[in-house]
Amino acid sequence: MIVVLPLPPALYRWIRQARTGTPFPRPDHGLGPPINQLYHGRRLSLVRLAVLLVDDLPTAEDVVQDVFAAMYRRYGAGLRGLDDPDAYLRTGVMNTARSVLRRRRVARGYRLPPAGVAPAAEEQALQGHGDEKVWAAMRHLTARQRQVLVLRYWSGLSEQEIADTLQVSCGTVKSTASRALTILRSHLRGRR
Amino acid sequence: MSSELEDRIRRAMADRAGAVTPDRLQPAIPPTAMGPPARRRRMLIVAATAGLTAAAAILTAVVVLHPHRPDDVVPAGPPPAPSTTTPPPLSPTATSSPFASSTAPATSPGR
Repeated sequence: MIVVLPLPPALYRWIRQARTGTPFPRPDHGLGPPINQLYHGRRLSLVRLAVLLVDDLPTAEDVVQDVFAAMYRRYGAGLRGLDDPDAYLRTGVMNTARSVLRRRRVARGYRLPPAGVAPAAEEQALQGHGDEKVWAAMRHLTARQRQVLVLRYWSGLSEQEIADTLQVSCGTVKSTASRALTILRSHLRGRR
Repeated sequence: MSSELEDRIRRAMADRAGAVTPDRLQPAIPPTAMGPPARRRRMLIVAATAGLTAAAAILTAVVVLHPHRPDDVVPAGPPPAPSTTTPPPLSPTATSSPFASSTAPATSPGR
Protein backbone atom coordinates (compact mmCIF):
# COMPACT_ATOMS: atom_id res chain seq x y z
CA MET A 1 0.00 0.00 0.00
CA ILE A 2 1.38 3.41 -0.88
CA VAL A 3 0.62 6.35 1.33
CA VAL A 4 0.94 9.78 -0.22
CA LEU A 5 1.43 12.67 2.17
CA PRO A 6 0.88 16.21 0.97
CA LEU A 7 4.05 18.29 1.53
CA PRO A 8 4.13 22.03 2.07
CA PRO A 9 5.58 23.75 -1.02
CA ALA A 10 8.62 25.06 0.87
CA LEU A 11 9.48 21.59 2.16
CA TYR A 12 8.98 20.06 -1.27
CA ARG A 13 11.24 22.70 -2.79
CA TRP A 14 13.90 22.07 -0.15
CA ILE A 15 13.84 18.30 -0.61
CA ARG A 16 14.01 18.57 -4.37
CA GLN A 17 16.87 21.04 -4.17
CA ALA A 18 18.76 18.82 -1.74
CA ARG A 19 18.32 15.80 -4.02
CA THR A 20 19.15 17.37 -7.34
CA GLY A 21 21.61 20.03 -6.22
CA THR A 22 19.94 22.58 -8.47
CA PRO A 23 17.70 25.29 -7.19
CA PHE A 24 14.01 24.83 -7.71
CA PRO A 25 12.52 27.79 -9.53
CA ARG A 26 10.38 29.88 -7.26
CA PRO A 27 7.29 31.59 -8.46
CA ASP A 28 8.76 34.97 -9.19
CA HIS A 29 6.30 36.45 -11.64
CA GLY A 30 9.01 36.77 -14.30
CA LEU A 31 11.40 38.96 -12.32
CA GLY A 32 13.67 36.30 -10.83
CA PRO A 33 15.29 36.43 -7.42
CA PRO A 34 16.95 39.73 -6.50
CA ILE A 35 20.46 38.48 -7.12
CA ASN A 36 19.60 37.46 -10.69
CA GLN A 37 17.98 40.81 -11.35
CA LEU A 38 21.11 42.49 -10.07
CA TYR A 39 23.26 40.20 -12.21
CA HIS A 40 21.40 41.00 -15.41
CA GLY A 41 21.34 44.69 -14.63
CA ARG A 42 24.94 45.19 -13.53
CA ARG A 43 26.95 42.54 -15.32
CA LEU A 44 27.96 44.57 -18.36
CA SER A 45 29.11 47.61 -16.42
CA LEU A 46 31.07 45.44 -14.01
CA VAL A 47 32.78 43.59 -16.84
CA ARG A 48 33.74 46.95 -18.31
CA LEU A 49 35.14 47.99 -14.96
CA ALA A 50 37.07 44.73 -14.65
CA VAL A 51 38.45 44.84 -18.16
CA LEU A 52 40.10 48.17 -17.38
CA LEU A 53 41.91 46.43 -14.54
CA VAL A 54 42.89 43.07 -15.99
CA ASP A 55 43.16 43.99 -19.70
CA ASP A 56 41.46 40.96 -21.21
CA LEU A 57 37.80 40.20 -21.60
CA PRO A 58 37.63 36.50 -20.58
CA THR A 59 39.42 37.21 -17.31
CA ALA A 60 37.20 40.22 -16.68
CA GLU A 61 34.11 38.06 -17.16
CA ASP A 62 35.52 35.45 -14.79
CA VAL A 63 36.18 38.13 -12.19
CA VAL A 64 32.59 39.34 -12.32
CA GLN A 65 31.20 35.81 -12.27
CA ASP A 66 33.32 34.99 -9.21
CA VAL A 67 32.08 38.06 -7.40
CA PHE A 68 28.44 37.18 -8.02
CA ALA A 69 29.07 33.59 -6.96
CA ALA A 70 30.63 34.80 -3.71
CA MET A 71 27.71 37.14 -3.16
CA TYR A 72 25.25 34.28 -3.67
CA ARG A 73 27.15 32.04 -1.28
CA ARG A 74 27.21 34.70 1.36
CA TYR A 75 23.81 36.35 1.08
CA GLY A 76 21.68 33.86 -0.85
CA ALA A 77 19.32 34.64 -3.70
CA GLY A 78 17.34 37.16 -1.68
CA LEU A 79 20.41 39.21 -0.69
CA ARG A 80 19.11 39.39 2.85
CA GLY A 81 21.32 41.47 5.10
CA LEU A 82 23.15 43.23 2.28
CA ASP A 83 22.69 46.97 2.58
CA ASP A 84 24.50 48.24 -0.50
CA PRO A 85 24.82 45.61 -3.24
CA ASP A 86 26.51 48.02 -5.67
CA ALA A 87 29.26 48.85 -3.19
CA TYR A 88 29.71 45.17 -2.42
CA LEU A 89 30.05 44.33 -6.12
CA ARG A 90 32.45 47.17 -6.81
CA THR A 91 34.68 46.21 -3.91
CA GLY A 92 34.46 42.57 -4.92
CA VAL A 93 35.55 43.32 -8.48
CA MET A 94 38.43 45.41 -7.21
CA ASN A 95 39.68 42.75 -4.81
CA THR A 96 39.25 39.87 -7.24
CA ALA A 97 40.94 41.74 -10.08
CA ARG A 98 43.81 42.63 -7.80
CA SER A 99 44.16 38.99 -6.80
CA VAL A 100 44.24 38.02 -10.46
CA LEU A 101 47.03 40.48 -11.16
CA ARG A 102 48.95 39.28 -8.12
CA ARG A 103 48.59 35.65 -9.14
CA ARG A 104 49.79 36.44 -12.64
CA ARG A 105 52.87 38.16 -11.34
CA VAL A 106 53.66 35.59 -8.70
CA ALA A 107 52.94 32.52 -10.81
CA ARG A 108 54.96 33.39 -13.84
CA GLY A 109 56.70 36.63 -13.10
CA TYR A 110 54.01 38.27 -15.16
CA ARG A 111 54.25 41.86 -16.15
CA LEU A 112 51.70 43.19 -18.53
CA PRO A 113 53.41 42.89 -21.90
CA PRO A 114 55.12 46.03 -23.07
CA ALA A 115 54.01 47.82 -26.16
CA GLY A 116 55.19 46.10 -29.30
CA VAL A 117 54.67 42.59 -27.99
CA ALA A 118 51.91 40.73 -29.83
CA PRO A 119 48.87 40.66 -27.54
CA ALA A 120 46.28 37.90 -27.18
CA ALA A 121 43.40 37.92 -29.64
CA GLU A 122 40.88 39.27 -27.14
CA GLU A 123 43.24 41.91 -25.93
CA GLN A 124 44.08 42.81 -29.49
CA ALA A 125 40.40 43.34 -30.15
CA LEU A 126 40.21 45.65 -27.15
CA GLN A 127 43.33 47.49 -28.17
CA GLY A 128 41.58 48.79 -31.23
CA HIS A 129 39.75 51.04 -28.83
CA GLY A 130 41.38 53.70 -26.73
CA ASP A 131 44.58 55.63 -26.62
CA GLU A 132 47.32 53.04 -27.05
CA LYS A 133 49.99 55.28 -25.60
CA VAL A 134 47.97 55.76 -22.46
CA TRP A 135 47.40 52.01 -22.09
CA ALA A 136 51.04 51.29 -22.68
CA ALA A 137 51.89 53.75 -19.91
CA MET A 138 49.23 52.24 -17.63
CA ARG A 139 51.14 48.97 -17.69
CA HIS A 140 53.85 50.58 -15.62
CA LEU A 141 51.46 51.19 -12.71
CA THR A 142 50.95 48.90 -9.76
CA ALA A 143 47.60 47.21 -9.34
CA ARG A 144 46.64 49.64 -6.58
CA GLN A 145 47.59 52.71 -8.64
CA ARG A 146 45.58 51.43 -11.55
CA GLN A 147 42.58 50.76 -9.33
CA VAL A 148 42.62 54.29 -8.03
CA LEU A 149 42.77 55.76 -11.52
CA VAL A 150 40.02 53.52 -12.86
CA LEU A 151 37.70 54.34 -9.96
CA ARG A 152 38.49 58.01 -10.31
CA TYR A 153 38.34 58.49 -14.08
CA TRP A 154 36.01 55.69 -15.20
CA SER A 155 33.68 55.19 -12.26
CA GLY A 156 33.81 58.88 -11.32
CA LEU A 157 34.03 58.20 -7.58
CA SER A 158 35.13 60.78 -5.06
CA GLU A 159 38.27 60.25 -3.04
CA GLN A 160 36.22 59.21 -0.04
CA GLU A 161 34.25 56.68 -2.09
CA ILE A 162 37.47 55.29 -3.54
CA ALA A 163 38.88 55.01 -0.03
CA ASP A 164 35.77 53.14 1.11
CA THR A 165 35.87 50.82 -1.89
CA LEU A 166 39.52 49.96 -1.52
CA GLN A 167 39.36 50.06 2.28
CA VAL A 168 42.26 52.46 2.59
CA SER A 169 42.52 55.97 3.95
CA CYS A 170 41.66 59.07 1.98
CA GLY A 171 45.28 60.18 2.22
CA THR A 172 46.42 56.94 0.64
CA VAL A 173 44.05 57.52 -2.26
CA LYS A 174 45.42 61.02 -2.82
CA SER A 175 49.03 60.00 -2.69
CA THR A 176 48.46 56.91 -4.84
CA ALA A 177 46.65 58.93 -7.51
CA SER A 178 49.32 61.59 -7.51
CA ARG A 179 52.08 59.04 -7.87
CA ALA A 180 50.20 57.23 -10.65
CA LEU A 181 49.71 60.44 -12.63
CA THR A 182 53.39 61.27 -12.26
CA ILE A 183 54.35 57.87 -13.65
CA LEU A 184 51.92 58.17 -16.55
CA ARG A 185 53.11 61.67 -17.35
CA SER A 186 56.72 60.63 -17.40
CA HIS A 187 56.06 57.67 -19.69
CA LEU A 188 53.89 59.64 -22.05
CA ARG A 189 56.56 62.36 -22.27
CA GLY A 190 59.21 59.79 -22.97
CA ARG A 191 57.18 58.36 -25.82
CA ARG A 192 56.69 61.60 -27.66
CA MET B 1 40.19 71.13 -12.22
CA SER B 2 40.98 68.70 -14.97
CA SER B 3 44.31 68.55 -16.71
CA GLU B 4 44.94 67.48 -20.26
CA LEU B 5 46.39 64.21 -18.99
CA GLU B 6 43.30 63.45 -16.93
CA ASP B 7 41.05 64.08 -19.93
CA ARG B 8 43.19 61.81 -21.96
CA ILE B 9 42.95 59.05 -19.36
CA ARG B 10 39.17 59.43 -19.23
CA ARG B 11 38.85 59.14 -22.99
CA ALA B 12 41.13 56.12 -23.14
CA MET B 13 39.15 54.33 -20.45
CA ALA B 14 35.80 55.22 -21.98
CA ASP B 15 36.91 53.93 -25.39
CA ARG B 16 38.26 50.68 -23.99
CA ALA B 17 35.20 50.07 -21.82
CA GLY B 18 32.91 50.95 -24.69
CA ALA B 19 34.49 48.18 -26.75
CA VAL B 20 32.90 45.67 -24.37
CA THR B 21 29.42 45.25 -25.77
CA PRO B 22 26.70 42.77 -24.71
CA ASP B 23 27.15 40.66 -27.83
CA ARG B 24 30.82 40.06 -26.96
CA LEU B 25 30.04 38.60 -23.56
CA GLN B 26 29.71 34.92 -22.84
CA PRO B 27 26.15 33.66 -22.32
CA ALA B 28 24.87 34.83 -18.99
CA ILE B 29 24.84 32.32 -16.14
CA PRO B 30 22.84 33.82 -13.28
CA PRO B 31 24.19 33.14 -9.81
CA THR B 32 21.31 30.85 -8.85
CA ALA B 33 22.20 28.59 -11.79
CA MET B 34 25.73 28.10 -10.45
CA GLY B 35 24.54 25.65 -7.75
CA PRO B 36 23.18 25.91 -4.25
CA PRO B 37 24.89 28.31 -1.89
CA ALA B 38 27.61 26.81 0.22
CA ARG B 39 25.74 27.84 3.33
CA ARG B 40 22.83 25.64 2.34
CA ARG B 41 25.19 22.79 1.47
CA ARG B 42 26.83 23.20 4.84
CA MET B 43 23.43 23.08 6.50
CA LEU B 44 22.61 19.84 4.70
CA ILE B 45 25.91 18.30 5.73
CA VAL B 46 25.44 19.39 9.34
CA ALA B 47 21.87 18.05 9.39
CA ALA B 48 22.95 14.71 7.94
CA THR B 49 25.83 14.43 10.40
CA ALA B 50 23.58 15.30 13.31
CA GLY B 51 21.05 12.70 12.20
CA LEU B 52 23.64 9.97 11.92
CA THR B 53 25.12 10.90 15.29
CA ALA B 54 21.72 10.81 16.94
CA ALA B 55 20.96 7.42 15.40
CA ALA B 56 24.29 6.05 16.60
CA ALA B 57 23.68 7.43 20.10
CA ILE B 58 20.23 5.87 20.29
CA LEU B 59 21.56 2.55 19.10
CA THR B 60 24.37 2.66 21.65
CA ALA B 61 21.94 3.54 24.44
CA VAL B 62 19.66 0.67 23.54
CA VAL B 63 22.54 -1.77 23.55
CA VAL B 64 23.98 -0.47 26.83
CA LEU B 65 20.70 -0.20 28.78
CA HIS B 66 19.26 -3.47 27.60
CA PRO B 67 22.18 -5.85 27.41
CA HIS B 68 21.68 -9.32 26.09
CA ARG B 69 21.42 -11.29 29.41
CA PRO B 70 21.84 -15.04 29.50
CA ASP B 71 18.66 -15.52 31.59
CA ASP B 72 16.71 -14.02 28.75
CA VAL B 73 17.48 -17.13 26.84
CA VAL B 74 14.74 -19.62 26.75
CA PRO B 75 16.18 -22.97 27.87
CA ALA B 76 16.17 -25.54 25.30
CA GLY B 77 13.85 -28.52 25.81
CA PRO B 78 15.14 -31.99 26.85
CA PRO B 79 16.90 -33.85 24.21
CA PRO B 80 14.77 -36.36 22.42
CA ALA B 81 14.76 -39.81 23.97
CA PRO B 82 16.86 -42.35 22.23
CA SER B 83 14.91 -44.47 19.84
CA THR B 84 13.87 -47.89 21.14
CA THR B 85 12.79 -49.29 17.95
CA THR B 86 14.59 -52.34 16.90
CA PRO B 87 15.33 -53.11 13.42
CA PRO B 88 12.94 -55.53 11.89
CA PRO B 89 14.16 -59.10 11.80
CA LEU B 90 15.80 -60.10 8.67
CA SER B 91 14.29 -63.61 8.60
CA PRO B 92 10.84 -64.63 9.53
CA THR B 93 10.59 -66.20 12.99
CA ALA B 94 8.19 -68.76 14.14
CA THR B 95 5.36 -67.21 15.85
CA SER B 96 3.95 -68.89 18.83
CA SER B 97 0.65 -70.48 18.46
CA PRO B 98 -2.15 -68.33 19.48
CA PHE B 99 -3.31 -71.26 21.48
CA ALA B 100 -0.10 -71.75 23.31
CA SER B 101 -0.17 -71.21 27.00
CA SER B 102 2.49 -70.42 29.42
CA THR B 103 1.14 -72.90 31.84
CA ALA B 104 2.47 -76.38 32.01
CA PRO B 105 0.80 -78.95 29.96
CA ALA B 106 -2.09 -80.55 31.62
CA THR B 107 -0.86 -84.02 31.13
CA SER B 108 2.51 -84.69 32.38
CA PRO B 109 4.17 -87.98 31.54
CA GLY B 110 5.05 -89.92 34.51
CA ARG B 111 2.61 -88.36 36.80
